[in-house]
Amino acid sequence: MLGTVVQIIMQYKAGLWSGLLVSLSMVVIVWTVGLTIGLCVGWYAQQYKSAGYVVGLFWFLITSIPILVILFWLHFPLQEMLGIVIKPFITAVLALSFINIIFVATIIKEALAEFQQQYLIIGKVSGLNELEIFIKIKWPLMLRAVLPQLLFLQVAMLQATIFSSLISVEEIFRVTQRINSIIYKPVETYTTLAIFFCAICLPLNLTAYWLKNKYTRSFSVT
Amino acid sequence: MLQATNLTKKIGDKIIIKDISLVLQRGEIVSIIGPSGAGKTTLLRAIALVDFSNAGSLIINEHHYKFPIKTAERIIFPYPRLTMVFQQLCLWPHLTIKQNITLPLKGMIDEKHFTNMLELFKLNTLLERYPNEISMGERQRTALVRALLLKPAYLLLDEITSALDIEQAYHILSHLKQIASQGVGIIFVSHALHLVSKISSKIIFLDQGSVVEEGTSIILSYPKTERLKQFINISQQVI
Repeated sequence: MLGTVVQIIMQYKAGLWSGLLVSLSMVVIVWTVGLTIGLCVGWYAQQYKSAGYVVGLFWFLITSIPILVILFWLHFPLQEMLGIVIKPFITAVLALSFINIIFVATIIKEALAEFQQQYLIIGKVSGLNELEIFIKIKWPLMLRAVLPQLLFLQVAMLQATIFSSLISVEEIFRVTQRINSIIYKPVETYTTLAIFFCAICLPLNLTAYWLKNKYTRSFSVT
Repeated sequence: MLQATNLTKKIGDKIIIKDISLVLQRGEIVSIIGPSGAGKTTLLRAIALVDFSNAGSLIINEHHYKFPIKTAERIIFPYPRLTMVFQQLCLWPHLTIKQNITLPLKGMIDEKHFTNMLELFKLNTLLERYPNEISMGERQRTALVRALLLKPAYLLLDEITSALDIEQAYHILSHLKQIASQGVGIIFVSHALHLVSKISSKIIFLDQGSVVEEGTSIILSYPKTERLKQFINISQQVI
């Protein structure tokens, strides 16, 4: 089987490469938008209750409705209702970015809510100023609390890009499906896809796992 | 001098401490005792300006504070000339013991004082460890050393001996006496009456947010109020 997989990679490398590039460019935008805006939204949602409720509501909706259905709604009925046509790639990027923003914001909001204020108070009574407290205490502690979760989430977002094949985005999953329809070797074709995903996701997952183990160690009650 | 006058703290409608006044001179140890929920920690946090009182006033050397504090008012905090050691979550978990005690010093380490403190509180071998790798007693000693390295004029200690065995507690308290004799004013909150009587210049007995009785350590031998008598009896039975 491995020989066939290598053969598929070699024979369809141009198609696979272009599909991979589409997937990667999509996920880079989704990561960047989700992490930057999600961080701000999460902070805002923790400060203002009403914003927190809105984020919570979206979180419930997104976790209750399959991403596939959301993409379908956004691409077909919504655009038809509004009488507009948006490129599938942009629709997918908008939808996945929004989902990422809500998930990132929820992680940040919860981490801020659970943050032990006592650590900051100790800094204050020890004579540290607000900037020193933020740089030396709050930021590193927050980062340790959220980094593994954020990394796991970003891996999940990368995997979620395959749903965009439903709305005809030419990403790697769609390319793989097309190759399979030509050669009809599903096991080998999808194993090829798995190899591509593993190459990207495995290092991210391992990093998240390592960070989780490393930082959970020093988070017991002190 | 540290002087608190008629400090009152409410949470919602509930009065946690009511009209509490005390004076702490440098070199003096004032102990606050009382049952759980008496308002001891609340009083300490109010004096440390960690939580603002709803009424009363506070003088800490040249700093004057009148409560309630107006929201627009700019507060100049007395830290680290006044500092506090907490009972729990007293160390930053992402930093080693050495980093924990040197971070507030901002690079200005008095090497002699630093070495003395490490020896006095037996922290030499723990410096490279993380807080979760040492015992509760060692954490409390670390928190105390961190506060002492700041050379405070006033030190507020909230139940710092609660996690220590009797030998360690005596060890720390004997050092506190020595530290006070160097001109540090200490407010010491504790449940342990036998320890308090050994080191305090003055003892304040709190119950339900109010001062029930105060005086020198003699009040523990000859209490005037029924409530303090009862508290001492129960404490002795437990010991």
